[in-house]
Amino acid sequence: MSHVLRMAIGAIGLVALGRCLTLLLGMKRDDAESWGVSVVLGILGTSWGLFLYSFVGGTLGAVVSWGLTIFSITLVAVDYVRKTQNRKQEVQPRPDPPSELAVVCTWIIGVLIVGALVQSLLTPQRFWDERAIFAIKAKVLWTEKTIHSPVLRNPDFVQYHPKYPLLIPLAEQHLYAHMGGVHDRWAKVIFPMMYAGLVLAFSGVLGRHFGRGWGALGALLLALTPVLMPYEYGFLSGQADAPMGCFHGMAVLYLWDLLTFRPESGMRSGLLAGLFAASAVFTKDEGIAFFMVHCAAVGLALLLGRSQSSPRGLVSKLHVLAKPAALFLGTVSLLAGVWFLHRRTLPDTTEMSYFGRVSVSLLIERLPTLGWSIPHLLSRMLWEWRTWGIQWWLVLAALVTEFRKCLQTSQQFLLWNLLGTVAALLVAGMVAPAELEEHLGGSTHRYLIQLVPVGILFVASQWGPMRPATENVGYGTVTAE
Amino acid sequence: MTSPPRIERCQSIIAVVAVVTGVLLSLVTCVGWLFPVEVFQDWGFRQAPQNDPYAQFEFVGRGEAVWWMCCFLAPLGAAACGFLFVKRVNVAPVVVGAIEEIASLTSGRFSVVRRLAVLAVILIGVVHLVGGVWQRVKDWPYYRLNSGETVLPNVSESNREVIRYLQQSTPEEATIFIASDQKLYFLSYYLWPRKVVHRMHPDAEHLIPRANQGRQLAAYRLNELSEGVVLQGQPDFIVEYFEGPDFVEPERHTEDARWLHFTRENHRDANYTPPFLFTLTPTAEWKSR
Repeated sequence: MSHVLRMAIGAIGLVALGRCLTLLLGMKRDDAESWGVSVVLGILGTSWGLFLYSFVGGTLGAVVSWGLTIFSITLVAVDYVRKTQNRKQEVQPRPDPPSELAVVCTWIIGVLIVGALVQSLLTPQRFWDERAIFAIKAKVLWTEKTIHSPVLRNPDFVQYHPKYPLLIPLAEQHLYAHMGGVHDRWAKVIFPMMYAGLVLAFSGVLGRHFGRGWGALGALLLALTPVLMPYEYGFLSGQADAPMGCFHGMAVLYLWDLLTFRPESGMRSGLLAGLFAASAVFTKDEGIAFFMVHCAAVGLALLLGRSQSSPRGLVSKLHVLAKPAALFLGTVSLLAGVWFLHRRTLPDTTEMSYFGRVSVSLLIERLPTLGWSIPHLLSRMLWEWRTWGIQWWLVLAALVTEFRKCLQTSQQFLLWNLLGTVAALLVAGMVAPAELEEHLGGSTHRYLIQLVPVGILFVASQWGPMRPATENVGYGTVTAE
Repeated sequence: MTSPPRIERCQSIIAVVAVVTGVLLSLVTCVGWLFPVEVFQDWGFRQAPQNDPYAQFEFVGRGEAVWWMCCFLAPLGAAACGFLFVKRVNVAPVVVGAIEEIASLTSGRFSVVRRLAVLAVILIGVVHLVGGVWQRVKDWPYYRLNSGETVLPNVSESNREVIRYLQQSTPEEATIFIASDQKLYFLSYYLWPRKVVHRMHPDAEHLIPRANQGRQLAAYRLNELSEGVVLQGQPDFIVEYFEGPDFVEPERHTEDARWLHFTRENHRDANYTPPFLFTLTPTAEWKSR
């Protein structure tokens, strides 16, 4: 069996695992959201699973990876057979007729996903970060079969950022285990899969809120953003910026869903947001800052959101939000906690140690750097639209044209989140032990990739058809649909 | 409610577009299948600037990529056009309905801004997608379907030579200690499962190298490191590899006879001397010095 076919089976196994997890979460409909979340959950579930398994002493490799794939595909097949039998016995409610706009957009999105997959697999891994940080760790994990490898703990072993998280290396290692060797070109399949998952999940969640047509159109706007695809450092490469965009975007998507207080949102959104936020932490160190921004943005949105004008409303919403928020915080703390336990054992060579370096005196001392970094950032976001796309112009347009809507809790959350993550980049530029212009100048375009889904979510939700005037306070629990 | 005349007009447009595009793509397909790849490579060669072998290599590869697209992508497009033509009665109401739905969803205040925004995103997206396809055509000469190990992409010529030499001169399970003023990440990546170990100078940790030794990175010379540091990871081989002007020692460039033989064979020049310092020494031999 050729390694390409085995890679394909591994990729199907990832989706199957994700499908098992979404079924466990009660997402039983065959809609865009379920499949989008399945793809992304499959990848993160595999990496987290392998990490925890290896953390407690398990041996990575073909046995565990093939076992996981066969187990997942079998479970999905059993579920499919069971569903088919039940369908014969039960009268199923007719699914909502999809809108014509949704049909057209879904076809175009399908073509874009296939295009991303083909283009991604047309080149081997070839950029700095994808090889120096992530793929080298994947090779070591594949050969050494454990995250506790002495090689990864050796401060003199040549790898960039030894403390960087292992989600991508473990996912690549999983595919190497299927292929029986290191083929870095074919392991890139996970990146267009994340693109597909992100776009489908956006389509589904926006569709739930604004109707299928608008959901699919919003997803199409996201899928057509050049900096995500076909820009080379986006989903076509093995860099971690686009996956960060995927996990961060989906964490924000489900937190936003939570903050709309719709009956169908609730514990499941809290759990999904937690899983995606934890996976952002497990993909790149920016995920830690993003998690802090999420917490601050939720707090600010609840305090300052328009619907919080009456104390009764605020108290009642805090009461409703308590359980999902606890689930979100608990999920991130638990998963990221285990990662940080392991991270402590890894060497510090070439680490920037942003968090350790932050101090009031340093921030005051480096304040003048903003004189360069803010204009640079604005230029990247707005003046260089021919290269990266017009998404930041759309954010401004959506903000100005629907300013009153920005006062709503859910929209404020998105705004604070965007502002917080941009501020985090400026602070990183202030404290990094590297030349500012070289450091930020060479990375802002990649950092902004991570924020694009949030920007498009803001635009789509600002311009989305009006929702019912009364907000629903109170969620259902995780229920089967 | 969609008016029938609109649907009929849309059907006609779909029919015309599908026929014209389908015929064009069918012709392209015929060209691809009737002419061998060499015709396309020759066409590429003739587009390249004269006396520039790198450009000629690129253009020949691009010609080959265009041939692949003619053979396989064009028939797919032609088939899609055929499908559209046959199904135009079913497709037209969906397209008209979708356009009307967009118009309705973006109506209200500032509808012009919203519609222009959607149109702009689609237009820019399509332009970039076409650019992406052309970029893959440009990439093809370098990558084809080869593995990264075969291509060694985005690696300097000197790095490439060192990687090839170490791959053939050291066993796969070897640990190699390298004293160097270079960032060795790609060596480490392509030499794995050989373990590349290097003591990085603290002043070089957060510096990014520049092309053609445009930035001299701080580094430890081998004789500046204690034996304990060098032997800490129990290396099987010790390498000295310096390219920067502060570290090269021209009188030592011919010190390693096997390396010199390799690189002279590689350059097909019996008198070639590399402009950088490279030596490979088995640890036992190094210890005995």
